[in-house]
Amino acid sequence: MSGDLVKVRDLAVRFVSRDRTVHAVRGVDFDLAAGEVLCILGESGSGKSVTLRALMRLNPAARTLMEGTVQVAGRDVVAASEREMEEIRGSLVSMVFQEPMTALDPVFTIGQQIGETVMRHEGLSKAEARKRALELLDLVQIPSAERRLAAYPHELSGGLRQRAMIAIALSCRPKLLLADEPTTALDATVQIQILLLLRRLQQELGMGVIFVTHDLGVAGEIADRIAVMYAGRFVEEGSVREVMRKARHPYTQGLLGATVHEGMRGKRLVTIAGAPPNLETPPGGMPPDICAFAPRCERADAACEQGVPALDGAFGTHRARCIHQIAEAVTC
Amino acid sequence: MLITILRRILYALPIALAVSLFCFALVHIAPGDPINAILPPDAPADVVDAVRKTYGLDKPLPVQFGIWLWKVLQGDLGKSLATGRDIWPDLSGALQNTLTLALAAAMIGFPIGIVLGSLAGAFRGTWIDRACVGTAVAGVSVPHYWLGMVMVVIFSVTLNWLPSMGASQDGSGGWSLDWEHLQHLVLPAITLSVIPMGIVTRTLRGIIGEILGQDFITTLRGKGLRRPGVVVHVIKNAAPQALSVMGLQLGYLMGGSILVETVFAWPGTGLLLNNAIFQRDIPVLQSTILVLAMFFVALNLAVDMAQSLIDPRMRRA
Amino acid sequence: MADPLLDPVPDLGGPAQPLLLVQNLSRHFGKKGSVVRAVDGVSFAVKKGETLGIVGESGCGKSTTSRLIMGLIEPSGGEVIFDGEHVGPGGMPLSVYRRQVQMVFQDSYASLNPRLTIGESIGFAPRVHGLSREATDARVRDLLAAVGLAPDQFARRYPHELSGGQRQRVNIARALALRPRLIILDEPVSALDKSVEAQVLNLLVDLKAEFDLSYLFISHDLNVVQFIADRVLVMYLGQVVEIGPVEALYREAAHPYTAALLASRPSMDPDLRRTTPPLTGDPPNPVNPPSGCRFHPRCAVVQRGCDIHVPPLADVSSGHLAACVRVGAA
Repeated sequence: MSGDLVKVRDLAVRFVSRDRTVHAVRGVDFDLAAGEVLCILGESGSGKSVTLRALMRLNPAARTLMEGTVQVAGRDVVAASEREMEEIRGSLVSMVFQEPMTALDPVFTIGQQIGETVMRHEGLSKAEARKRALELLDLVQIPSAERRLAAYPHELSGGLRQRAMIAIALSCRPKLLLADEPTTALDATVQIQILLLLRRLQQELGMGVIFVTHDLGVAGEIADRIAVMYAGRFVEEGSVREVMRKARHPYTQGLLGATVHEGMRGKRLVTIAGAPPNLETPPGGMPPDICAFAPRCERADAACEQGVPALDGAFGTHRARCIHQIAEAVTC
Repeated sequence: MLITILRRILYALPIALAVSLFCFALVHIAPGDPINAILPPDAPADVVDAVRKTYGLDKPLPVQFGIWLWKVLQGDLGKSLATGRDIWPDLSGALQNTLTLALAAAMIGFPIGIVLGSLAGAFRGTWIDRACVGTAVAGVSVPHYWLGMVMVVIFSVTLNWLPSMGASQDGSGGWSLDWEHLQHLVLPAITLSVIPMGIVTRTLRGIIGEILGQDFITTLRGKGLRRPGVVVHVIKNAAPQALSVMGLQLGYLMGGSILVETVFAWPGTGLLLNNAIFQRDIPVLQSTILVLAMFFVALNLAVDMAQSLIDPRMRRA
Repeated sequence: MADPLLDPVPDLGGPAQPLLLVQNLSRHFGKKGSVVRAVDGVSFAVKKGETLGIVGESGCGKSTTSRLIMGLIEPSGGEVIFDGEHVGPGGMPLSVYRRQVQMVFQDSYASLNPRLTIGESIGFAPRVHGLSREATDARVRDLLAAVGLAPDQFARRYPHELSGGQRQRVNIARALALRPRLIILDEPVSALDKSVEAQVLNLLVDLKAEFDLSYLFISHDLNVVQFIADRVLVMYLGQVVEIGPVEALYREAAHPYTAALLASRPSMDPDLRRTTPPLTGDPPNPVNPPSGCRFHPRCAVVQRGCDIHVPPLADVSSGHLAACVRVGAA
């Protein structure tokens, strides 16, 4: 797959401190084509946000160990100098965060916060930056843009704040937009507006988008492809239809069953017993090399504890990290 | 914005009034009849009455307060019991000396504190942090007068580099900052700067550490801002809290330099207060405290206004 | 003769008497000029044995309503009637009322005392109410078992040693400790991961049957409310806009706001993606709300007069009411 926007191979991220190591991401591979939307779906602690931040090398530098290959539009993110990363961030790749209230600087106006990005990357003058900021506020459909430029974050509603955040992220026309649960903190009627806005902008601007969420509904609204993450690895990857309708991995199936939706009234919800494995080890240690979901899996047997299953491509682009899923496919 | 400023001033007025009431009450709270401070205990009753009348002490307290406040507003602080002279000229001279000393100490202590605190906050948990915090703790823990005396022993007595007493050879002070006066200023200013240096360091370490941990710092890095660009944001976010600590410290420097002024015989308000206490010169005591307290109120007002100028969230309250 | 602490307070009003009746409840904050009408004339009933869901967006007053019912804040007006008896001076004493109504909050960590063990937290209220140490211990063990936590393993642990889901189970156990009849659940699963959310929802369904409870279930998640509630109440800017049985309300919402709220749910099916948002803009601020029908500035089917007349709750069908002029007219 040449011409890919993003190429990630064997990405591992560890957070190291004196008394422990947290193995947050333990071998992630994927590609993203230009103009494609990938949703990374996972619960808290699955490593989805860490993976996203690794693409921009935004994890705290002092205690993060990053290994593997990460290429964005042909630029090597792992090997790049901090200087090069500063050039890439905000221009080639940018990010939208979950909580726009805390992700925006409270003592700078919206206009200033948009303006400084374009002044930084495109060398625009103050007046030009202001003009661009106005265009961007129009692009993200913020009404009375002129007045909003001079507003501080706390003077805007939650939805407008997130739109402003998106305007900042899009200010230098990035090829790749990273979105970290951008609608989770919003009200229901606002969430759908922001999702639709992101989808429209993605299509208009032809961006690649990687969208991290824990919400299957959100993924269903926006994704082309879905990757399900569990304990630091992708356990299933496929098109949105494949994953939503023919989930292969027991964890994905459990997640789908556990998600409350229409028509489940009166039925018992499917639950996944137990809790995700602890990915913390003493320094230098490694978590056991087994299927991480095996301790919670109804299908698990001794074979599941013989090494980590591969993310298998027996179904073409629909792959799952489960040996039993493969056995089923061969037999049927 | 104008309304915010006016409102802040309005809030400050009752505080100022309360402070002046307290200063006025000082005379009456102090043990014994204030008349005893003026007259010998065995003074004849008719003399006591006459003096009472002259000082207005026979009128009801609220009226006395009104008269006193009115006079104070006109710059008439009364006369010293010890010297019989008007208080204001002496006080104003002492005030200028204290202000000079306080500003000099602030100019030494604040920048060092800001640098150390910012370094400590930015490099939390590293040896840089520990070194800066160590310095701060030492600064706060060392007693003023002891440090002052050690400095005098080293730089004046042993090395004979700097003078150890007063604001100048001829006793003049105030704003004449020539070589002569500067030399006299060095030792007391350094001595006085040590505590605010330590406190500013500790506070800034906390503020900077907290700001650097906030989400918007990640956003700024995500926008590709270089370090100087991020620093601008950190400064503007840290400024309101930092200003309030420094304002408070400047206030303490004005009022809290009694020991240092005594050690260095610095002709400031501290020395004035010290003498007034030992001579039971209540009017001088009263006036000095009043003026210093008003300074404090004004300083807080200034800090408040500066804060709301920087932080838009504070403008409404 | 049963120990009054070991058993729930007996039913007084009979099955037809609503367990909780809220009448014209209001709470206004602030001074004149900028009054926040957080809750403005809210009336509803929770029947015995039912789960009433309250949905709405931020600022709609659902959490304030729950705190008013609990008596955690003073109402500006209106009354609360529990099992036929007025709560407050002249009626049911607050101490008696509070035993029968308990609350579970969203933040499972903040609502547990970090210095008490799980067992101490759950046993605290029974002990204060004079239950003997032995009886309290037995009850704590029963409750832990009832919420699916092995008593031997968990009674001596501290809140920080538990996962979010386990802590929320502890909060539920604690709410059950005085054998209440009504539990107010304020976003009880909103902070939990999906797989844990399902566990807690299943548990709530089980406990309701086992302990003969009624629930007031507050949530912003319409799917969760649809799963657990018998009837649903929709709030907008401090007022009730629609209330009705869950099937009817979800099948044919009568109020345009309810319809928009339902239509805003993201779909898991990529073939059912929407192209236009049901509503534009954010929920307005409850300071100085719009005149007339409070929803009229955002309403797609707004008519002349909606900005003047406040529509009353009118019958859509049996037990299904909505506050919209179009309901009365049709």
